Amino acid sequence: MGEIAMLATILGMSAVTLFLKSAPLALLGSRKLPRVVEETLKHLPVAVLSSMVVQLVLVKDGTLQLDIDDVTMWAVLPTLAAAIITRNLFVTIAIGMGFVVVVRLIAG
Amino acid sequence: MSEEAETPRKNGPLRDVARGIGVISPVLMVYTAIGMAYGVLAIDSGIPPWLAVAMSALVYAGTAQLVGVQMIALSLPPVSIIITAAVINARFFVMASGLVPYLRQFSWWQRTLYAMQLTDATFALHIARLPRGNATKTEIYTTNIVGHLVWVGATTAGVIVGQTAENLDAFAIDFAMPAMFVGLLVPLVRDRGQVLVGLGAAAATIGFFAVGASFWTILLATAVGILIGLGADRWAK
Repeated sequence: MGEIAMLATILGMSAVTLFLKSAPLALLGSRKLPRVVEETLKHLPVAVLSSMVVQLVLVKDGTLQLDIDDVTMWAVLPTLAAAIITRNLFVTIAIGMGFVVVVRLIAG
Repeated sequence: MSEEAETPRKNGPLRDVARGIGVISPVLMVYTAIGMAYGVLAIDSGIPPWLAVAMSALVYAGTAQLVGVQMIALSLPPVSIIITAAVINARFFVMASGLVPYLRQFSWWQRTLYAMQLTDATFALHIARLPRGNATKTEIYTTNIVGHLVWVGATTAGVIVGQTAENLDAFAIDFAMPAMFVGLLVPLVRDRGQVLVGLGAAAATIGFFAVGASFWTILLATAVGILIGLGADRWAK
């Protein structure tokens, strides 16, 4: 692919992404939403982030990989514990990544 | 702005800037790691450095960028790459919808500007913070702008170190994003119903992937989680 084609591709990716990010806020941003919609939106953050965590850990190259030797799969447990106990994002990330580093060092 | 009427607290633009930086600071180390990894991958994939950096500035969506550079490296048709980016980023449409009730005080162009810098992390940070109603516009935009700048800066650093930075996995960079999302998710879970929402969405994600729903899974699983939440609300009443 030539440089111009790459640039066009990137501009296209940018356009669709910016549309998806801005459409709801631009189109209905100042309107009062019906109560049903607001109740639905209340559950959205937990649902979407839970799905993302599972995908990030269990999905590799577009397919589900339940590998018992995969450190990152087990690392979710201490990370979750750290998040529940400390409720601190910095500590949670540090403990999660620290766990993976230590296990990899030990397992060599 | 509504926040002035609410809790009395120390104000001032500098304080708001500091608060905005404070809110995003834990995320910045993840952005640095992933942004650099993306920059390295882009160079490895034969993307010219300036285009790799331009993608971070213009697209600003990690997963779509990582997939995008690999598809560009394979010289796949641009339209298929753009459609893939749209499918991967469809979740932002959902997240932006979730923020609608809390950005009502913003003017049209302020909301649009906000949306351009929306990411998974800023969504999670703001959906935890905005309902409490004490974040000023200065704080909110500072969080967004700093995140975007660090992402572009990290990409630039990754592009510069290029191939010399092999084997980043040793530092658990592959777990940086999952750890960040766990840390962003847990404070949002406020009651038992929402525990069910999270577990339901997680189980649905595995289920949908098992039957091959691939990129669409996140939207389907989110819908399942929300339905469980609505059911739990009704049960509680």
